[in-house]
Amino acid sequence: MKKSTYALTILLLFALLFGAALTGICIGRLSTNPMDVLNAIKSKLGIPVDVDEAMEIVVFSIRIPRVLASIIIGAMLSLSGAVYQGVFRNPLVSPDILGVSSGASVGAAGAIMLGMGIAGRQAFAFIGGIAAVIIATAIPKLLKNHSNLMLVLSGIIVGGFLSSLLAVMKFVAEEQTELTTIVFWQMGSFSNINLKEIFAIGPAFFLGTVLLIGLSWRINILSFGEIEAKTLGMDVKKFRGIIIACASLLTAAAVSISGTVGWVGLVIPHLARLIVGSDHIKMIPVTVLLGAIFMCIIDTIARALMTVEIPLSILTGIIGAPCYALLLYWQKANIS
Amino acid sequence: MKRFLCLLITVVMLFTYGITVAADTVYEVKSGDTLAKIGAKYGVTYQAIAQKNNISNPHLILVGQKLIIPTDEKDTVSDEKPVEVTEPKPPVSTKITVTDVVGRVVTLDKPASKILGTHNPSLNTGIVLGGGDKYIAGFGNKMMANKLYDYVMDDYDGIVQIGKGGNINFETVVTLGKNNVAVLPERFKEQAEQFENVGIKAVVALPNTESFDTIKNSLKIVGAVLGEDNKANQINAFIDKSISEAKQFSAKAKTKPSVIFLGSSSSYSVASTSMIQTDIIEMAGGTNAVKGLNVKGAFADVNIEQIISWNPDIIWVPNYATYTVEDLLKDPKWASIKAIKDKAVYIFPCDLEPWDYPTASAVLGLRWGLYNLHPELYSFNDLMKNIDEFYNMVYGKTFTAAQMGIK
Amino acid sequence: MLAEIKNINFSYEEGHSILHDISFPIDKGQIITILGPNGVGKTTLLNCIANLITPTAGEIMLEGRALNKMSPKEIAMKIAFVPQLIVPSFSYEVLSYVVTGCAPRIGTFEKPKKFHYDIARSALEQMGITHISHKYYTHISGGERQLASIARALAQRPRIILMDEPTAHLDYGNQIKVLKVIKNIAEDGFSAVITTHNPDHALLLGGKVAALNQNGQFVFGKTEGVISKEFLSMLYDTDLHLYHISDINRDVCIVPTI
Repeated sequence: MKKSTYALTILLLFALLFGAALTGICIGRLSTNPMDVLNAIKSKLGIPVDVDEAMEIVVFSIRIPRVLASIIIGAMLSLSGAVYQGVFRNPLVSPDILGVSSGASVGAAGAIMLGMGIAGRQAFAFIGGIAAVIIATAIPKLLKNHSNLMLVLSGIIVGGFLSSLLAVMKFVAEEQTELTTIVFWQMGSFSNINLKEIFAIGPAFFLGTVLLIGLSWRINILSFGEIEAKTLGMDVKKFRGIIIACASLLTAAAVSISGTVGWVGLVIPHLARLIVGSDHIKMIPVTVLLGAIFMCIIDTIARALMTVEIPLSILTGIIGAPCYALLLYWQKANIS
Repeated sequence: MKRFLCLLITVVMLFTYGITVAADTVYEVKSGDTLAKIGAKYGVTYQAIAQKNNISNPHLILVGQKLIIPTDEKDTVSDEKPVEVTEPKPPVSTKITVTDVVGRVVTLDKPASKILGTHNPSLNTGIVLGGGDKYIAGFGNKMMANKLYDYVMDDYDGIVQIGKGGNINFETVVTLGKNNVAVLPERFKEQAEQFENVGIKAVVALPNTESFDTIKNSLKIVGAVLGEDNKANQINAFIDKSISEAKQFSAKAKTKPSVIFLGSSSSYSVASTSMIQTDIIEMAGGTNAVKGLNVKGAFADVNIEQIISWNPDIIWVPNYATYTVEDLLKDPKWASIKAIKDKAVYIFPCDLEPWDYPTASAVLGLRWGLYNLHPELYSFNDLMKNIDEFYNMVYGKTFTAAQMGIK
Repeated sequence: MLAEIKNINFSYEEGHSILHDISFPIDKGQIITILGPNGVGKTTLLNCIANLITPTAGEIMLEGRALNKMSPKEIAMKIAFVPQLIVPSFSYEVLSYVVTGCAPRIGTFEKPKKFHYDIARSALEQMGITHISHKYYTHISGGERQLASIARALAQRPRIILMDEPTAHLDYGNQIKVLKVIKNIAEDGFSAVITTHNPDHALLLGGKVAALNQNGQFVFGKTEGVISKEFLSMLYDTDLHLYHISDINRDVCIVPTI
């Protein structure tokens, strides 16, 4: 892809992101009139204007935090998906390959059963996700087998074990209260988001994203395979470790806020590759932007389509799975 | 080196996270504020704020003064019984202050227009206080009591669904108006903060443990919120009367049958001792066959051997159960149980709305229980008379025995 | 002497010894062809030189330093490895693929700069495949892929290029093309160590031969000196003949009949 075409693509994506964010702020159950939003902003700035004060609350306490959160989480999930796919040399990989989502679910379920509030759930979910990855990366060390395959198998083992643990917790959980809360948490939602939670994951977002964008060319090399990467002078274990750590950090932080949301990390990188090719230097920034746009749109639908909240993973599944099928169909010429 | 880096990053994350979560809130006093108002805003008592800031005279705070708001709810709930908060100025007549069941003090400038929420027993308080949908702005799952609500509400289907369980669409809540109050059960108490974030006050009306006292208290709280204190008192008086009558009758009873109250989704679950069913059984002159089962919350799963060992005299099946009385009578595993042999298996009423929920109509459940266990002391006619009295008082309507499914 | 393989042994964990006391030097601008039947350890030997596996005894010296004391980056600046078969999981442009050869000289967080792409382009030119620079790796033929891999090795600017059966999956014409390229780069100053199944290739390339047989015996020396009818027949356990053809003035290896 020519440099100028690429620059244009990035510009277009930024414009789309800006548009999606603005649209998200202007759409909701209370009013879809952009003038109302403008007036609410004016009112907050102290300019006297005739606007329903409920609008001010809705714009600043509900819509803006949610748009911000959905953009960040969409970026984080799609970026970690793309990076995992590169490191594991497999376009079928999703961010949960090392068990992060299962670990986060167990952590959140634990917090819910201990009666903790939303802040506690976020912390426990984050810790659970990171713990799962640490265990999954420890198994290859114990078995002294550092191949990619071993790591994937460890992830399957850890993820499987944690899913069973979650099932036990659900079985023991009190049916009317804890169980429904756990189930709803798993389905994913931004309905309880506030700026404090977003700030809490801010460092993870910046650190992870900056590092991974910086390492995106190295991911090209890792995707050739361990032998070639090593003979090109890369310390495969070190780089793979850093990249997996960053991607896991992003995933755990994202899931700790939104709950488990599927398909984003799987589908968006594919879409990005379809647009700009597999070179990670080009593809990773596109993935980040596409993921942000996608999640922003999904959350807008989640809160505005019906009077009730539609869980995020329902929407990402209903929209994501058919899109994935479509992408594979378009790509079939490229699959060797 | 890599491992150290990872550990460092994780620690920094957790630390940043911990700081933003645990940091104390600092509030600057504005003109017109009182400690009670500030306390209500943050869900803590005025005494706690005074304590935290070493304020000896809680009525004396200055504009611009910075107050540290204690964050831990537990150490702000005072040990004394909930007290009425005194204002520094003479109270304005329409100001309402309630203390909810988790100790939160909520102040309203005037009675709420309507209530909303997703917990049906909690919302039922507003329905009985308004005799219909007058006070209901938003609902969760519309399943419970649809038949009754169809009769007594003008536009049952038109009530807005704001969410399900713990998952609420707060923008929808805002569209319903700002003078509403959210009524929450204790299990969803952390939603209160989110409602307040969007400018809607919230009261936790029903605690996790159910009893007639908690039902009466919930009516009192929501009654105060809606300005329907009189109606609340009226209903509570009926409940008190019913309880004392039941006590008198059951004192006269010669036997106290053992009763087991089964669960809705499975006949192998039973109501635990923290549910209203236990109060009903005991006040109606029976004993709860379920011994030694103190599971927190709702129904507890047991196995058939356990039920056989309890050998209840009477089995009550919820109206909304997924299995039938015939299923139990025909099931060979149950055949040895006394209640099955005597065919003393009854459906707990009623068809219009469940009388075994922690709502006002649980009092009718109590009366029916009395009739079912001691028909020699409390006749069917007496029962129907009292039922009519209740529904007339609440909704201005009565229903036939057939409609309610009572025999 | 650029590199020296000193008394290396290699056994797999089951205890089965593959390489036994192998020693030979690699000089600048030299072509070494490793010959031997299947399973005798040719690829193992190459992997040892590439530092992909560690010999169980002995050491390999590169410009006077022990290979196992060098970092992968330092080794990659001197030694390039062209594997036998590349299965791509993602499809990159050939130019993007070749520029990764510059990796040892690019910082951890850096991306290839313009002059790195220039190096890649000149490597492609050297291999004569500039016309496929912007085609996707998955859309080119096996022969073109092999040439692209060699181009990547050239972009690495190493001293020694190791190739594991570079002609294995190529048609006859492409095989000759690759051999030509190997001869050219040796003339440009690179050393090349290749494994091959075809002894005639060794004769075409000249240089030196390192031969392993089933009994673990190792022979090293100039091609003309080592390769003889008896030697080849022993090595491959087949009746092979060596003929000198005066028209082209070289020996060729021929199977008389099957």
